[in-house]
Formats: sequence, C-alpha cells, structure tokens
Amino acid sequence: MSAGPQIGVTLYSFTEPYHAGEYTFEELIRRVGELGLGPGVEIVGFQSIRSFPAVSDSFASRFRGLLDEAGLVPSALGANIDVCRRRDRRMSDEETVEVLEAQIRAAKKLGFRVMRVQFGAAPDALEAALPLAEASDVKLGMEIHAPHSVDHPTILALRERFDRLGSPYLGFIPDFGASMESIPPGLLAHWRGLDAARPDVIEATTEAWGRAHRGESDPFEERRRLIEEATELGDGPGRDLAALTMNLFGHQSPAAWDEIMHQVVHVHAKFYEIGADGTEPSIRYADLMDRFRRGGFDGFLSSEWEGNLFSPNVDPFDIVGRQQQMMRRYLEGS
Amino acid sequence: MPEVLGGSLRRTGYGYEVGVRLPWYRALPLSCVGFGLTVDGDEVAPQRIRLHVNDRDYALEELAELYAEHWFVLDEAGLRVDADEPLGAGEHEVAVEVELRPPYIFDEETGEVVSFRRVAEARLTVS
Repeated sequence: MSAGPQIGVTLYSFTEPYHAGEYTFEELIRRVGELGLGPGVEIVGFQSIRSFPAVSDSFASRFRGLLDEAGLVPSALGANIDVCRRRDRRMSDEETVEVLEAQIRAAKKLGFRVMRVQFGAAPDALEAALPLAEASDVKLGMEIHAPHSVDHPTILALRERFDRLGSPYLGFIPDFGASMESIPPGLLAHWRGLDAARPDVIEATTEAWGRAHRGESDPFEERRRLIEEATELGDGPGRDLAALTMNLFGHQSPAAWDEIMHQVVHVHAKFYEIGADGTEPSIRYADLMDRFRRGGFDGFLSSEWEGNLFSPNVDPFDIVGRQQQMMRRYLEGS
Repeated sequence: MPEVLGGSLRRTGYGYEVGVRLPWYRALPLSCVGFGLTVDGDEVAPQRIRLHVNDRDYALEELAELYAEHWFVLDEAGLRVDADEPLGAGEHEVAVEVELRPPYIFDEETGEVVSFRRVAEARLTVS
C-alpha cells in the first residue's frame, strides 16, 4: 500500500529572513526540523550554495549531517537552466547538457534523488542528460509553472519525448500556481492599498484575468492588451502588477494534472495566503490533495510560499506550518 | 527580497562607494544585471562607475560579457564612483536603479528575456 504523498518545504519559502541575514542556511534547516516542517527539504542551488554548481566534499557532508540531526531528508534540488545568460546568443543544446550534468552531479553529491529543471531545457538536451541522471539515480522533473500548463505546446513536446523514452528518470513537477481558482485576494488588497493605485487598471486586470480563466479569450492576447493599456495610462506600478497577475496565476484546471500523474516526481505546493479558516482562498487544495493521493503520488508536496510579493510582514515559518496543517487535514480526511 | 541599497555610503580615495544588494532570490550571472545611480539629483555617468563584487572591480560596460561569474545573494557589492570632487559631509540623496534579466525567464513567443527593474532611494550619511 502506498504511503501517500509526503510533506516537505522548499527553503525558497524563507527567502526573506535568509536574505536579511536573520538565519544562515544551516540555521534555516535546523529551524525547519525544530518546527516539524519536513521531513522533506528542497533547496535552490543558486540561492543556498555560493560555489554552485560546484559543491565541496565538506559542504556536502555537513549538509547531509545537518539533515540527519534534524530528522529531515533531501526531497529535491532546484536547478536553474540559464539559457539566456549570454547577451549575444541563447545557450546551445550542448551547453545546456553541460549545465544539466553539473547540477545532476551536485544533486547526487548532496543526496537529492530529484532535480527540478526548467523549460529552457529542450527535449533533446534532457534526452542527452538522461544517461547521467539514470547512473546518478537523480530523476529530472520539468516544472510546470504558470503560465505553462499540461497542454501548453512546450509541455506537450516534452510529454511526447518522455513518453517515447519511457524512463522513470524523466518526469514533471506540477506547481499549483499553474492551476489556480482566482487572483489571490491578498494581492488585490495590497494593490488597492497603494498610494498611486488606479481602480480602473485594477478592474481591467481582474476582468482580463477572468475572461482568460473562463476560456473566453486567449490569455497571452489579454496580457498584451492589458499591459499596453496600463502603459498608456502611465501607471508604472499598475503595469507591473498587471503583468505579474497575468503571468503568475495560472488557468489550468486541477483535473488536468491527472493526465501526467503517473510521471509526477515532485510537487511544488505553491500558496499565497492562508485565511483564518485555514484554507488557501485562491487554490483548490481540497481537490488537489484528493487528486494527488488517489492518483498514487508518493513523493513530496514541497510547500512553496510566494506571498512575500505582497505580504511583507508575514512570518514564513508560521504560514508554512498552517499550510501544511491544511494539506494534512485534507490528506487524512479524504 | 533584500533592499537594494545596503545602507552604506563611504568616501574612497577616488570618490565614493554605495553598498548594494542583489534584489533577487538567487545568485545571477553578472551579465544579467545593470545599474543606474543618481546622487543628489544628478545622474552619475555610467563610465564613472565600477561594480566591486567578488573582490574585483568591473566597469559597468564589462558586465555584459561576464556570463560565467555570479553575484551571490548574500553579498553586498559596491558601486564605486570616480568623482571629480569629494562628497560633502552629511546626508545625500542616493537613488539606485537595478535592472535584472533573469536568464531562465524568457518569453517563448519573442525569445526575449523578461526584465525587472528595482529602484531604491534613501538619504544616506557619508562616512
């Protein structure tokens, strides 16, 4: 019998206190252990490790020891595929394979058996990196993050290649922000509270998002028109928030995750806020937890809090704890 | 994200230096960052600015080539200005603009990297 989905957290959720120097990398891990926010721990290589993707033996051994002491386990390594790092040209597939392989070696050294990859890595590059992934026992998970979805052309091309190759070392990482119910109320409250907020731009944004969400129009066309309108009105901050809204809060239905459930290697349990009633108002967590449990997923639901964009004074440790309580409640109750 | 302005403004042998932090959650290649600096209402000419990072100084125009070197998120870097005259004692209005082009976020339709602008202003006392 499957143990069901497991719980974990990505240290990305603690970006604010880490950057402010309130916690070192090691102290974050200890705190996660103390507060019971694991057992899974995910890190972003370029956030946590100065020399990344190079990882020293002593760093790796300290990291593994720290996790053990804190009763935690490594869930996934967040790799980055920096295809546009050069100003003169895009990274070639050969260079992408080098970048992938360096991070696969880092993942193995640190004890991670799953590595998050991003859409800059084309099917050919992933296929070329597959032998090293298999030999290293590191599964490559392509993150499906807003504005992508399971049926976006980029993802369809990967599905086709993954299906053809048939390896358990090539799979997907759903980010729940790709399958949202509404714009986070906290974002709208923050926007309305800004000094120079323009109600007309806010309304145009919520209407554009709604039309795209109901499938009444093309989301990319709505985004283009909206940003043009905000720019014409001279609303700089509004234009940025409009762009963010149209880019980050995805329209895929939660049910569509079923199409790739058998290939899910890890989950980014994205969330923006937890209400007083203990639920996430803009993401259908009850449905998602039921779906992933019944679908047989037994990897990590890695809590990823991104509300720092519009809620600067929230304690990330506290809100991750509340989100995990919510996930457990749904997983146990269903 | 951290405040762009580290809060430090100090005199140096050739002018002054403004402390800056990378306003992003992960380290970025130097080829992905750009800077603008205005002090007491006057825009500082880019040719007068060097970025001090990783124990080295780079002219701003050199940064575009440096795709293999990173600015780590926990590090304060310095915008080092070659000034004709020393900065007067006391407070100065400092505004820094950082342009970020995260190399993994691009528009698949246009092929262009998505760019983010962060502006920070503060009254800093020179030390």
